[in-house]
Amino acid sequence: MPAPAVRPETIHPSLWRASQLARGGAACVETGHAALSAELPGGGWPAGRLVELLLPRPGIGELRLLLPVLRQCAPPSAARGGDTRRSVLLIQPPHVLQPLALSWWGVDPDRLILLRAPRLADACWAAEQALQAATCRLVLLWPQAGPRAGLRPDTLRRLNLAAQAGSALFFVFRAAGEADQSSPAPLRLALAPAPGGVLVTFIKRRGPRRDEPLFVPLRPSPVLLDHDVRLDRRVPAAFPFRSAAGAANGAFGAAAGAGRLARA
Amino acid sequence: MAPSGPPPAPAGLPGPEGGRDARVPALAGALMRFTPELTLAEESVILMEVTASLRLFGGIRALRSRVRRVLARAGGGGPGSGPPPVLAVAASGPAAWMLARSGRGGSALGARSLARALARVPLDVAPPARPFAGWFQELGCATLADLRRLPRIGLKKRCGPALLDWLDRLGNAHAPVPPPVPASHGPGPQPPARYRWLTPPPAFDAALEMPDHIEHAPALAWAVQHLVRQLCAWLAAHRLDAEALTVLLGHDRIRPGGAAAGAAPGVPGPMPAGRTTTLDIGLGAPSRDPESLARLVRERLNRLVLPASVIMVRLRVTQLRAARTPSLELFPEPGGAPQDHARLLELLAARLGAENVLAPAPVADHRPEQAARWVPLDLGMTGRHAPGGQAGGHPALPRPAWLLDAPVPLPVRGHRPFHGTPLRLVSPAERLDCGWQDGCPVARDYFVAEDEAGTCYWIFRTGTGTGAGTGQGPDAAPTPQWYLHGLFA
Repeated sequence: MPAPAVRPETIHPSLWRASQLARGGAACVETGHAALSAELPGGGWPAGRLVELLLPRPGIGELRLLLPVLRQCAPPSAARGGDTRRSVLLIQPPHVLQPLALSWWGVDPDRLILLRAPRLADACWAAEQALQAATCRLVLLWPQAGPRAGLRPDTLRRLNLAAQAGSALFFVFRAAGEADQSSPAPLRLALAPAPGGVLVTFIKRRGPRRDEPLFVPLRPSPVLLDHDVRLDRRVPAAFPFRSAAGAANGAFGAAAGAGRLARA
Repeated sequence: MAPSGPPPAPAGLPGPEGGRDARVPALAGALMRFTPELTLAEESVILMEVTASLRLFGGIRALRSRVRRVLARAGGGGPGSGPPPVLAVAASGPAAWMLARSGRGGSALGARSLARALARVPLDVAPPARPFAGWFQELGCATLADLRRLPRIGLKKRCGPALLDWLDRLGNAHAPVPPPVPASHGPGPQPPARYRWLTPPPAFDAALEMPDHIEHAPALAWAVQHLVRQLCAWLAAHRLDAEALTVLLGHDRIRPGGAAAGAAPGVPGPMPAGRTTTLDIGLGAPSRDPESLARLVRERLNRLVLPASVIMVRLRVTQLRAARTPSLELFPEPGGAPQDHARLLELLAARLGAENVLAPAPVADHRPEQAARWVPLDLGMTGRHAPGGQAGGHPALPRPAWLLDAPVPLPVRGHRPFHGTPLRLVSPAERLDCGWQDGCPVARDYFVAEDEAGTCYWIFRTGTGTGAGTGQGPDAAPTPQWYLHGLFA
């Protein structure tokens, strides 16, 4: 095939070929995962746009996928400047978020605000207000689809418009079954669990179609025992607990137990 | 506009003859945000001296359009409103008064345009010419221009000096000090007098009677908005910001629902005690912005269920604080001002309820249920959260982000815990055996487990600890049992 006489990508930043990733759109924020950034238009999460993450169920590594962004928006106390604003908003998460897990990750939990909004309309309203105020840096929304009505396309369009008022990162977590519904989000990713990471399928992006999922390794991994040893570990026998007198510092038995198993 | 000349003065609202238009006091309050130098002139005219406010509001044109918006709201809304208010801008108080009173309005800042505008004003608008209206009509004298053409000597003989003095003051817009339309038109030249500017009331407490019995709280939104606008004008006049408001809803004597009955039916007074619903609203950031305040009150009203129909709404400001001057930064901080963020949080709390806006307050406790504590956010931004609750340091072992509300029992298949697929333990045990001191003892061995798809779970085994077989809950099971407690998101 002869090379085309005109290269459209040199004419204007908003022009690209169907085989290329889009450029010149909204400002993007580095994802922190090199393999994922290379596959996203603009090289990162689009700021001020609706981004959909579709999950089969909560707890498959979705927060660790956003961990570099979380660390950036909620840096630990030592790294923060004078700004102590709580600028990360979590709206109606599916389970209780453990602040201890965040500190384990190096995220300052004091920069977070959690909103409980059992009604879908309230949750979407809160997200819209937060985006329009343009004072948050990261907004995460878990819309709880009711028995009758889920998230409608016009609600999503409203949220996408509200997101454009500011430069906050805005993620909506939806069920994997809603992948075939139409959505105004410029970026839709389906996540699936994988050992040591997560499989990312690009449902919608401004760029060429990619069918095979992308493996993104996630860290820190909660797996403490070495994976490479192909040893079928039996469930350890239950050691008897100590008496009630020693129960006060019973938690310190964890280290001893860990050492014993590591030697085994 | 000569710098030493008399001020331009927009005036508005010609009212019905005799008696003042009922809208004037509220409107004067609302207009006080543009200038503190404001006076209630004769015949429902409000005179404002705006020379000192021009720079702040971006010139006379911008100021005029803002005043016009305030007038449109006052004239358009509400039941029983009179004729629409008229806005006139002129270089002197009397000239502005004449233009406004003629019902034509308009802007006449230069000497020539003022002369042109005044020439068209009908003669019966001028107070000193009114006693001679019949005579002027017989002469065919209809406007000020016709009056000016009459010989001065004859006019003085017929009508006295008051009319001529008034005419001279009006014609010479750049007279040293424009006297106001005087309270009494005595003979002889009036001594130059300054306007007595209106002083705003020292405390704000405004009420509005409903035209009808209001059954649903959201229907009160327009009344609240009206009151909030008055409040904001009052705050602007005093250079104050509101920190806390109280909205009182006065209920009707007859309660259709019959709820909260028991008060005697014949209590006098417009708002008897015990028949009011009080709504206290605290503000995260002190504010006098009418839009955000009205939105906040509206969200609170939307959540309210009225015990009886409302006949009166009353707004009080309970906490005040000196206004901070807005900082105009050359490079504004991205993400808006801290006040904007505080305003967002208070709005969220107004609709969702303060108990649903949470901040983490981790507790130094080994039990994950107790450690993962979230408390309602302190909107006042004073204390961050309860002292002594801070769990210091980073945990040495992995913790799952999602913690289930209640542990889910897992079946055992082939000597393995089972959750969708058989689970493989990928961490050593972490033993928690504590909580004996407050009556919720736990004795658990926590493990990280991985299923066949690669998802990691936080599971624990119980039934072997000190509390086995006693008490209640999963920790008291007599035999070993697996539970799912967390998800590594």
